[in-house]
Amino acid sequence: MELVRAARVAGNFCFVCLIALMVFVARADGGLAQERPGSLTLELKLEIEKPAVTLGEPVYATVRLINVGEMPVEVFKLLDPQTGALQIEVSSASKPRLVFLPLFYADAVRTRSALAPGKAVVAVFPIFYGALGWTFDRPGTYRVTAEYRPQAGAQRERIRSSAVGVTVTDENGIGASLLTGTVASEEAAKFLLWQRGDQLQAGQALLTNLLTQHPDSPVAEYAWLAFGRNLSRSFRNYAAGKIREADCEPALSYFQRIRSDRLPLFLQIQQRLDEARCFIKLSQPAKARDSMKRAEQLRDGRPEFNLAFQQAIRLEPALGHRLDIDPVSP
Amino acid sequence: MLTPPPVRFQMSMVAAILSCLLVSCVSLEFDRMTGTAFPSQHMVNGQPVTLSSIFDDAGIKLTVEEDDTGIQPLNIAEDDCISDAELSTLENGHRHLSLFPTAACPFAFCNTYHLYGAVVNHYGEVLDVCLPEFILGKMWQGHTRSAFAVFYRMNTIQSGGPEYLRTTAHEIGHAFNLHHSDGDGTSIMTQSDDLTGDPVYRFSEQSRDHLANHPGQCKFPGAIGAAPFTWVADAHAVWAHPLEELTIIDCQ
Repeated sequence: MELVRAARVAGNFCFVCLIALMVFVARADGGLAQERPGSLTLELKLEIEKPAVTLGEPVYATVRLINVGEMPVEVFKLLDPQTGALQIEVSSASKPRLVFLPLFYADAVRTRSALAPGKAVVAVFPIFYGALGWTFDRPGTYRVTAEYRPQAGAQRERIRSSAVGVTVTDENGIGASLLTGTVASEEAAKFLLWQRGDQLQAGQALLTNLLTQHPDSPVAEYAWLAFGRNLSRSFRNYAAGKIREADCEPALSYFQRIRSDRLPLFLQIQQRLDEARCFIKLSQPAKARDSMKRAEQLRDGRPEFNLAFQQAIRLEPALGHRLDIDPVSP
Repeated sequence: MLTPPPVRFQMSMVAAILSCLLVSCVSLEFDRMTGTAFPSQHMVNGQPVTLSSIFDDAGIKLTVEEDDTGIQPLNIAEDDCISDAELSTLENGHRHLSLFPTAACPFAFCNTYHLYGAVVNHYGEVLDVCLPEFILGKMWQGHTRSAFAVFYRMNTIQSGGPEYLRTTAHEIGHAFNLHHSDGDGTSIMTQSDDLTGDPVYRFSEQSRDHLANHPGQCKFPGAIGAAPFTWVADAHAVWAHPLEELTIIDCQ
């Protein structure tokens, strides 16, 4: 009997110990989750606003990294292939796997910040041209995926997005006249990419020719925008050793030809912001205010467009406090 | 608009090429804007460390040719960031060396590869946006990895001699197809945000293996048929070439 009682006491003691151990392990797990979040904490979404394009038409990706967990996670503040935070892969029948390589690769500091639960880091960037040339270089169907690459820090797991399809057609051979494999074709791509570049004379000539011969081509809107944005900003030409100042009147005449609804939202916003800057330079505050208002309507509170606004205000501080644009208006 | 290189520069290039008779080397044509300085040597354990010595330590002969030191910065009052398009004009207007290597002998092992670098008196731009105090440096001509810039306006660069030297070596490391994943927590390719200890002025074992043992097209800047700057998959040099033309074996 003594042995049975002793065994029962020992059993109860072990049971209590087991419960205590379980509680301890559970707490330790919770503590660990704060420091080393698992892959279930982040989700990567890729969107391409215009999944059907013509050959030569610029393609922009929107990437959204969302904290779907319950703890803050340290992530890259800027999602961009240039800084290496993100990799874009493109596959098609002709290219089984193309890792998109941006023209410039950037090294940054203080690149990460804590992302609160439910919050997202979002960025929009071009993927149609890089160091390996035109990404979508022939008609066909392409599959595009994004991969978040944390590289170091607490969260190291790579996170892939679902694949998004992009269909490229060649409307009346217009794209083929742009993707000629020549220096002019490469320069035209850079001009569409950077939306600036006075030195890209052969590329600008090729785009001008396209605008003359195919003014209704979808590529035309991007070309008008690039010409307008180029002139709306000053340009440091180190090959010539001088600055070309912004020239807003011709810039605005380019902007007026654009059928904005054919452009992705990001570019529509850029157009409106540049218009607003130019109207201020030309002392037309009411028009500036109108363009700024349209830009804000298009933004509709979406964080992926914040940087474009930040840059516009940096170039023209009056855009930051709209009363300065037109003190008479409320 | 290209001007012929000065005689002194031409002479130093001839000397650099001749010194590469028995082993391939890389000639860095280094320019800077007025108001900037080139990275100076840094003393580590009583020994002077320079760009050349960092690469020499990893078995790479790097000749630094300080070329144009008087490029006048083109300042735009409201915009102190230089765009990629503008950086491209800097290279177009000031690079004297060709994109492709010159050979001192008829064999692949005695090439002189060319790299262009510039210290610019601006901040860098990313995503078409000026973000001061964010970008330290950039590498471009990614298909052949043969140009880079360091942004001297950055406090880290301007005020930190050792950090400046390290950043420059890091950018040149990219031109040699080295990646951040080649860092080991303290070595050259480790980004400053990811340092796990005091930075050292040498390449990691993984980087050194790449620099010592991989074929020229996989590492040298501006090599003909070069492996573009791309991502390392698992172990170093086990990368998928973006166009699937170079296989894994080509770079091992």
